[in-house]
Amino acid sequence: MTQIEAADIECEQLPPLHIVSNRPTLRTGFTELLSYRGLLWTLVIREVKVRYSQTFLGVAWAVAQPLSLMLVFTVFFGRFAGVPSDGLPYPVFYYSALLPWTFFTTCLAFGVPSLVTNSSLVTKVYFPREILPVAAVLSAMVDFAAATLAFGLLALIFHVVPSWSWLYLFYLIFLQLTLALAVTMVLSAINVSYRDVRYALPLVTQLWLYATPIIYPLSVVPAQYRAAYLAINPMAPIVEAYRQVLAVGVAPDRQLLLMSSVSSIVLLHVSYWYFKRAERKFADVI
Amino acid sequence: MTTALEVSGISKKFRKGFRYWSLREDLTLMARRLLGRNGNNGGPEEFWALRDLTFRVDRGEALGVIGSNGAGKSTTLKILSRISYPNSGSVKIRGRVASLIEVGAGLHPELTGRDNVFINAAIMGMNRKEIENKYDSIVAFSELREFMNMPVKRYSSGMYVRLGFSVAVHTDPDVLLVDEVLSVGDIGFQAKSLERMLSFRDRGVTILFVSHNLPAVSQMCDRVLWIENGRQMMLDRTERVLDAYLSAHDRKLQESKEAEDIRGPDVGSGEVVIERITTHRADGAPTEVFEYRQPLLLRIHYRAFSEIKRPYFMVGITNHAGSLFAASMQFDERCPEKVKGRGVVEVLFKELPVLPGSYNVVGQIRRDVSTNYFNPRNLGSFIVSSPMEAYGFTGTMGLANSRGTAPIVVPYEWRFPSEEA
Repeated sequence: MTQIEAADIECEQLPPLHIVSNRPTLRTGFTELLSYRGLLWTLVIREVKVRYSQTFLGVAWAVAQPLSLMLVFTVFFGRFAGVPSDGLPYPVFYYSALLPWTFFTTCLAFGVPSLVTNSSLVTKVYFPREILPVAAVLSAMVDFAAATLAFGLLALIFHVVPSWSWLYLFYLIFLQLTLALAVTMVLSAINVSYRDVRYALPLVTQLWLYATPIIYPLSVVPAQYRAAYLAINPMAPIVEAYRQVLAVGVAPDRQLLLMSSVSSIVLLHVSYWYFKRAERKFADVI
Repeated sequence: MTTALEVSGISKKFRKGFRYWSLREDLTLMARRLLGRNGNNGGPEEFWALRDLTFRVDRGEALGVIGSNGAGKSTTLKILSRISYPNSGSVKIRGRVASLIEVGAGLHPELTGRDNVFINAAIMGMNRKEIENKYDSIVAFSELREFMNMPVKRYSSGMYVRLGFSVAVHTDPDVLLVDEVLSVGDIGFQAKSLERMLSFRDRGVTILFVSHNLPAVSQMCDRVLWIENGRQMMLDRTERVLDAYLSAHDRKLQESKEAEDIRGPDVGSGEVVIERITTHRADGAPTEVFEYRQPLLLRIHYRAFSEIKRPYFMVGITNHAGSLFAASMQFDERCPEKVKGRGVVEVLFKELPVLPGSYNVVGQIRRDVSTNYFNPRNLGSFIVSSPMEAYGFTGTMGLANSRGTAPIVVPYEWRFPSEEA
């Protein structure tokens, strides 16, 4: 080892040195991820191309999911059950909440099994493993963009006036990305050793859907529990903010946003830390 | 010389049996440990795939890695390519690493050849610009130009591998880790691949070459690391390690044979048997690595259980293509008048007119035309390793693996009388 170090001083144009045994810190992990952005980008494109190859509807599927859910919710929960919508037209009320929700579930559906479905890569080639779940999350952005454009049409039909508040969307997208990355990464890592995750996932997403103010407005949650509820379910503030921003056309609750931002960022750190720790065993147990 | 690769005491442990554990099993194990009982009792059996492996490779050197199946060769490569991590020890690698562990990893069946070239190249660590520059050369190498717009799922398996390999050999690594990939494709493609490997070596790329193909190892590598059961057996110059490896191999063969009843019915009548055949240079020095047209001296170690008159010894050289040439006392009538106890008969083949490859030595002792004292049996092996230039082969095809080609090369020359006129 001293030979290598001595050689470093002698000759400066030597290629860089990799040391396998060192545990990477979060920062070196992140710098490495950046240096692999070319591969990340390529995998995002691959994911998008593969997802809709040999389908007839193609990317229209990205819109079909929130759209059909919106129709069912409007008819059954809105018209028949008479769930309150805070005075908003039901289609707008449901669709604006389903936008971030669909994005989130798409991330989970493709991101959580991403390491296992790409096991041939994981066992044969080196690259920072988080690229796989991250690529799944980023490629879900394409679907999300299509679904968001479709909201424009809906807004025209129901006379929702475009508002400056729509600019908050950029911040909300950052927020939902952070949260989706955090949850997807940690679950994808656990799924490598415990395939239980795969079976639990549909159940958990379904339960989570009912526990999030999508079918009903946040206002139906009793006021004394609301703070705790929003703190426990990090998706709730995001969904509520979408409704405020897109459907109502007002700025979202600042305090709510701040709380959600802090918890998402903390979650992402914990998740990334866990992922990097678990990563070293992926190839052996996958 | 600077070090390109330094492996210090790496060990790797695996759990036996289970590929992955369910949560329930892990929780039970954890609970047991918490309760203070000996966790190892209920735990999975563990074994060491690698134990304290230490070696260094200089820049521009080609190191071969050999060993039986399951010796830990692939585990070593996986650790070096950072796919798997050692339980202890460390690895330092200088420069960009490319590993040809299995070609075509990450080829996606739904996408076209062209898309896959870009993805696969990105996976191998090339950036966009590099890929664009090398794209034409990759396609040309793969010989799949007219299929580039076809989804890879419609490729034959040979085409699939060719595409993956073409991308792989276009990386520009400082350290190249190779695991048995030369055996893909047809002869022509194999020739190109081997040529490419050699050109990597000539360009000063550090190479770690894991292979069962001993002739290829000896053609390619300066030194060889031999591992067995995860431990280092030997690390030395190529021919020394190959010698030791082959004799250990023969010894193992021999030991398993001695376990059988040496005078059993499948031996022949068994009054005189061949215990082993050793290979030597003309001067008697033992070796198992030979060059083209070098003399081959065989020592046949026999054992006669009683006095036998005029036994006919026979030895033949074989390879996967079958019998190649032989020496038989039945033809030349040069047999010993009598043999008793242990002794040696030598036969000197004046030259070895064969292609690089591994060859077996078959021994037999006949009593008469219809009965054997000792039935024909594989008793030794050696390899021939010479550069193609020694045969006067300069064409690309000449670099091909010899499989499928007649293995005997009698010195020859072409003449062109009509051109002189």
